[in-house]
Amino acid sequence: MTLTTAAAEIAAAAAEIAAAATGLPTVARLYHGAVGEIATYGGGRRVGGVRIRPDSPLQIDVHIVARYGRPLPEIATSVRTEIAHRLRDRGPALVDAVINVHIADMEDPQVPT
Amino acid sequence: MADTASTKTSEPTGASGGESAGQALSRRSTGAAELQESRGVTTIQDSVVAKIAGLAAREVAGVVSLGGATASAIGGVMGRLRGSEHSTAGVGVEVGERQAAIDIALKVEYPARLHEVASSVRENVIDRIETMTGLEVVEVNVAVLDLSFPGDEEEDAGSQRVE
Repeated sequence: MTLTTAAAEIAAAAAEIAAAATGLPTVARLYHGAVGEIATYGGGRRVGGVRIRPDSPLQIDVHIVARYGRPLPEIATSVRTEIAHRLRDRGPALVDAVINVHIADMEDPQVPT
Repeated sequence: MADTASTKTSEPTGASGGESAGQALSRRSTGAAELQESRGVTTIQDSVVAKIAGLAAREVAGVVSLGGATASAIGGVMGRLRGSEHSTAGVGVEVGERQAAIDIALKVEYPARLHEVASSVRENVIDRIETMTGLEVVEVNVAVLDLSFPGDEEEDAGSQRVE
Protein backbone atom coordinates (compact mmCIF):
# COMPACT_ATOMS: atom_id res chain seq x y z
CA MET A 1 0.00 0.00 0.00
CA THR A 2 1.47 3.34 -0.92
CA LEU A 3 0.81 6.62 0.68
CA THR A 4 -0.73 9.11 -1.69
CA THR A 5 -2.19 11.49 0.82
CA ALA A 6 -1.15 15.10 0.59
CA ALA A 7 0.74 16.80 3.37
CA ALA A 8 -2.27 18.83 4.41
CA GLU A 9 -4.34 15.70 4.80
CA ILE A 10 -1.56 14.11 6.81
CA ALA A 11 -1.48 17.11 9.12
CA ALA A 12 -5.24 17.00 9.46
CA ALA A 13 -5.03 13.35 10.39
CA ALA A 14 -2.24 14.14 12.86
CA ALA A 15 -4.42 16.80 14.46
CA GLU A 16 -7.21 14.26 14.76
CA ILE A 17 -4.78 11.81 16.36
CA ALA A 18 -3.56 14.45 18.78
CA ALA A 19 -7.12 15.35 19.73
CA ALA A 20 -7.99 11.70 20.25
CA ALA A 21 -5.04 11.12 22.56
CA THR A 22 -5.32 14.30 24.60
CA GLY A 23 -9.06 13.78 24.97
CA LEU A 24 -8.39 10.80 27.19
CA PRO A 25 -8.33 11.41 30.94
CA THR A 26 -5.27 9.18 31.30
CA VAL A 27 -3.21 11.35 28.97
CA ALA A 28 -1.88 14.57 30.48
CA ARG A 29 -0.53 15.97 27.24
CA LEU A 30 1.52 15.09 24.23
CA TYR A 31 5.28 15.07 24.36
CA HIS A 32 6.78 17.25 21.65
CA GLY A 33 10.38 16.19 22.22
CA ALA A 34 13.16 17.93 24.08
CA VAL A 35 13.34 20.69 21.49
CA GLY A 36 9.96 20.20 19.88
CA GLU A 37 11.34 17.93 17.21
CA ILE A 38 8.44 15.50 17.32
CA ALA A 39 5.85 17.01 15.03
CA THR A 40 3.94 16.67 11.81
CA TYR A 41 3.87 19.58 9.40
CA GLY A 42 1.47 20.22 6.59
CA GLY A 43 -1.11 22.62 5.27
CA GLY A 44 0.63 25.48 7.02
CA ARG A 45 0.37 24.01 10.47
CA ARG A 46 2.33 22.02 12.94
CA VAL A 47 1.00 19.23 15.11
CA GLY A 48 3.33 18.41 17.99
CA GLY A 49 3.73 14.97 19.53
CA VAL A 50 2.56 13.05 16.49
CA ARG A 51 4.50 11.65 13.59
CA ILE A 52 3.12 9.82 10.62
CA ARG A 53 5.72 7.84 8.71
CA PRO A 54 5.00 6.83 5.15
CA ASP A 55 5.61 3.15 5.44
CA SER A 56 3.57 0.15 4.52
CA PRO A 57 1.51 -0.05 6.58
CA LEU A 58 1.54 3.59 7.64
CA GLN A 59 3.30 4.13 10.96
CA ILE A 60 1.75 6.51 13.45
CA ASP A 61 3.88 7.52 16.41
CA VAL A 62 2.19 9.23 19.31
CA HIS A 63 4.32 10.51 22.16
CA ILE A 64 2.40 10.98 25.36
CA VAL A 65 2.88 12.14 28.89
CA ALA A 66 0.73 9.83 30.96
CA ARG A 67 -1.18 10.69 34.10
CA TYR A 68 -0.26 8.71 37.16
CA GLY A 69 -2.82 6.09 38.09
CA ARG A 70 -3.64 3.48 35.50
CA PRO A 71 -1.23 0.80 34.30
CA LEU A 72 0.74 2.16 31.36
CA PRO A 73 0.02 -0.69 28.91
CA GLU A 74 -3.66 -0.10 29.58
CA ILE A 75 -3.27 3.62 28.85
CA ALA A 76 -1.43 2.79 25.63
CA THR A 77 -4.17 0.44 24.56
CA SER A 78 -6.86 3.03 25.15
CA VAL A 79 -4.86 5.59 23.17
CA ARG A 80 -4.53 3.13 20.33
CA THR A 81 -8.20 2.26 20.43
CA GLU A 82 -9.30 5.87 20.53
CA ILE A 83 -7.08 6.84 17.61
CA ALA A 84 -8.21 3.89 15.53
CA HIS A 85 -11.79 4.86 16.25
CA ARG A 86 -11.24 8.44 15.13
CA LEU A 87 -9.45 7.41 11.97
CA ARG A 88 -11.99 4.85 10.85
CA ASP A 89 -13.44 7.11 8.15
CA ARG A 90 -10.19 8.52 6.86
CA GLY A 91 -9.33 6.08 4.15
CA PRO A 92 -7.71 2.65 4.05
CA ALA A 93 -4.14 3.87 4.56
CA LEU A 94 -4.99 5.41 7.93
CA VAL A 95 -7.40 2.69 8.95
CA ASP A 96 -4.70 0.06 8.50
CA ALA A 97 -2.00 2.17 10.11
CA VAL A 98 0.13 0.80 12.89
CA ILE A 99 -0.18 2.96 15.99
CA ASN A 100 2.90 3.15 18.16
CA VAL A 101 2.41 4.70 21.56
CA HIS A 102 5.48 6.10 23.27
CA ILE A 103 5.18 6.91 26.93
CA ALA A 104 7.79 9.60 27.22
CA ASP A 105 7.00 10.80 30.68
CA MET A 106 4.54 10.54 33.50
CA GLU A 107 3.04 13.34 35.51
CA ASP A 108 3.59 13.27 39.22
CA PRO A 109 0.45 12.51 41.22
CA GLN A 110 1.08 15.60 43.34
CA VAL A 111 2.98 18.81 42.99
CA PRO A 112 6.65 17.96 42.58
CA THR A 113 8.69 18.81 45.61
CA MET B 1 7.45 -14.22 42.63
CA ALA B 2 10.33 -11.79 42.60
CA ASP B 3 10.28 -11.21 46.29
CA THR B 4 13.95 -11.48 46.87
CA ALA B 5 16.63 -9.31 45.52
CA SER B 6 19.55 -11.33 46.67
CA THR B 7 20.20 -13.19 43.47
CA LYS B 8 21.97 -11.38 40.72
CA THR B 9 20.17 -12.10 37.50
CA SER B 10 22.09 -11.76 34.32
CA GLU B 11 21.09 -8.82 32.17
CA PRO B 12 18.51 -9.98 29.67
CA THR B 13 19.56 -9.56 26.12
CA GLY B 14 17.30 -7.62 23.86
CA ALA B 15 18.04 -9.56 20.72
CA SER B 16 15.14 -11.41 19.14
CA GLY B 17 11.91 -12.17 20.90
CA GLY B 18 10.32 -8.94 19.76
CA GLU B 19 8.59 -10.64 16.90
CA SER B 20 6.72 -13.19 18.95
CA ALA B 21 3.05 -12.38 19.08
CA GLY B 22 1.36 -11.19 22.20
CA GLN B 23 3.33 -9.18 24.69
CA ALA B 24 7.05 -9.37 24.41
CA LEU B 25 9.32 -6.74 25.83
CA SER B 26 12.56 -6.22 24.06
CA ARG B 27 15.26 -3.71 24.64
CA ARG B 28 15.89 -0.96 22.19
CA SER B 29 18.84 1.32 22.10
CA THR B 30 16.56 4.21 22.97
CA GLY B 31 16.34 3.53 26.68
CA ALA B 32 12.78 2.38 26.58
CA ALA B 33 10.93 -0.82 27.22
CA GLU B 34 9.03 -2.00 24.22
CA LEU B 35 5.77 -3.85 24.22
CA GLN B 36 4.66 -5.33 20.95
CA GLU B 37 0.94 -5.37 20.46
CA SER B 38 -1.31 -6.36 17.63
CA ARG B 39 -1.55 -2.89 16.17
CA GLY B 40 1.63 -1.22 17.12
CA VAL B 41 4.36 -0.96 19.67
CA THR B 42 4.18 0.59 23.11
CA THR B 43 7.37 2.01 24.53
CA ILE B 44 7.91 3.11 28.09
CA GLN B 45 10.88 5.35 28.75
CA ASP B 46 13.27 4.21 31.45
CA SER B 47 12.76 7.54 33.20
CA VAL B 48 9.08 6.69 33.58
CA VAL B 49 9.96 3.36 35.20
CA ALA B 50 12.35 5.22 37.49
CA LYS B 51 9.69 7.74 38.39
CA ILE B 52 7.22 5.02 39.36
CA ALA B 53 9.89 3.34 41.48
CA GLY B 54 10.71 6.63 43.17
CA LEU B 55 7.09 7.37 43.96
CA ALA B 56 6.59 3.87 45.35
CA ALA B 57 9.67 4.16 47.57
CA ARG B 58 8.65 7.55 48.92
CA GLU B 59 5.30 6.18 50.04
CA VAL B 60 6.91 3.89 52.56
CA ALA B 61 6.84 5.11 56.16
CA GLY B 62 10.30 5.89 57.39
CA VAL B 63 11.60 7.00 54.03
CA VAL B 64 12.48 10.67 54.27
CA SER B 65 13.83 11.26 50.81
CA LEU B 66 15.54 9.56 47.95
CA GLY B 67 19.12 10.01 47.09
CA GLY B 68 20.63 11.04 50.38
CA ALA B 69 23.50 13.44 50.78
CA THR B 70 25.85 11.51 48.60
CA ALA B 71 23.43 10.64 45.84
CA SER B 72 25.36 12.57 43.29
CA ALA B 73 28.55 10.85 44.32
CA ILE B 74 27.19 7.41 43.56
CA GLY B 75 25.15 8.70 40.65
CA GLY B 76 27.58 7.06 38.30
CA VAL B 77 27.17 3.72 40.01
CA MET B 78 23.42 3.90 40.09
CA GLY B 79 23.67 4.87 36.48
CA ARG B 80 21.11 4.96 33.72
CA LEU B 81 19.68 8.20 34.94
CA ARG B 82 18.36 9.73 31.83
CA GLY B 83 17.86 13.42 32.35
CA SER B 84 18.42 13.67 36.07
CA GLU B 85 15.01 14.93 36.99
CA HIS B 86 14.30 15.59 40.60
CA SER B 87 11.76 12.82 40.96
CA THR B 88 14.17 10.19 39.73
CA ALA B 89 17.11 11.27 41.86
CA GLY B 90 18.45 8.30 43.77
CA VAL B 91 16.80 5.82 41.45
CA GLY B 92 18.57 3.78 38.83
CA VAL B 93 16.79 1.41 36.52
CA GLU B 94 17.84 -1.14 34.04
CA VAL B 95 15.09 -2.33 31.80
CA GLY B 96 15.46 -5.40 29.68
CA GLU B 97 13.29 -7.83 27.87
CA ARG B 98 10.17 -8.12 30.05
CA GLN B 99 12.23 -7.45 33.15
CA ALA B 100 13.55 -4.59 35.16
CA ALA B 101 16.16 -4.16 37.86
CA ILE B 102 15.96 -1.20 40.20
CA ASP B 103 18.52 0.49 42.41
CA ILE B 104 17.25 2.89 45.04
CA ALA B 105 19.16 5.09 47.44
CA LEU B 106 17.29 6.28 50.51
CA LYS B 107 17.48 8.60 53.44
CA VAL B 108 15.67 6.99 56.33
CA GLU B 109 14.24 8.50 59.45
CA TYR B 110 16.00 7.55 62.65
CA PRO B 111 15.20 5.30 64.55
CA ALA B 112 13.29 3.30 61.97
CA ARG B 113 14.28 -0.30 61.53
CA LEU B 114 16.32 -0.12 58.41
CA HIS B 115 15.81 -3.70 57.28
CA GLU B 116 12.06 -3.33 57.62
CA VAL B 117 12.01 -0.08 55.73
CA ALA B 118 14.18 -1.62 53.04
CA SER B 119 11.98 -4.65 52.60
CA SER B 120 8.84 -2.50 52.56
CA VAL B 121 10.42 -0.35 49.89
CA ARG B 122 11.35 -3.43 47.92
CA GLU B 123 7.84 -4.83 48.16
CA ASN B 124 6.14 -1.59 47.24
CA VAL B 125 8.45 -0.92 44.32
CA ILE B 126 7.99 -4.42 42.92
CA ASP B 127 4.23 -4.22 43.29
CA ARG B 128 3.99 -0.80 41.68
CA ILE B 129 6.35 -1.45 38.78
CA GLU B 130 4.74 -4.76 37.95
CA THR B 131 1.25 -3.31 38.09
CA MET B 132 2.00 -0.09 36.28
CA THR B 133 4.33 -1.25 33.55
CA GLY B 134 3.79 -4.98 33.17
CA LEU B 135 7.52 -5.51 33.62
CA GLU B 136 8.73 -8.22 35.91
CA VAL B 137 11.03 -6.86 38.58
CA VAL B 138 13.95 -9.19 39.09
CA GLU B 139 15.77 -7.19 41.70
CA VAL B 140 15.46 -4.13 43.84
CA ASN B 141 18.68 -3.04 45.45
CA VAL B 142 18.09 -0.70 48.35
CA ALA B 143 20.88 1.42 49.70
CA VAL B 144 20.33 3.37 52.89
CA LEU B 145 22.65 6.28 52.44
CA ASP B 146 21.70 8.56 55.21
CA LEU B 147 19.63 8.95 58.34
CA SER B 148 17.48 11.84 59.31
CA PHE B 149 17.17 12.76 62.96
CA PRO B 150 14.28 14.45 64.67
CA GLY B 151 15.18 18.09 64.65
CA ASP B 152 16.74 18.48 61.26
CA GLU B 153 13.39 19.21 59.70
CA GLU B 154 12.90 17.93 56.21
CA GLU B 155 9.85 16.37 54.63
CA ASP B 156 9.28 14.34 57.78
CA ALA B 157 7.44 11.11 57.21
CA GLY B 158 5.45 11.30 60.42
CA SER B 159 5.40 8.77 63.24
CA GLN B 160 7.45 5.65 63.04
CA ARG B 161 7.46 2.33 64.79
CA VAL B 162 9.62 2.55 67.84
CA GLU B 163 10.21 -0.39 70.03
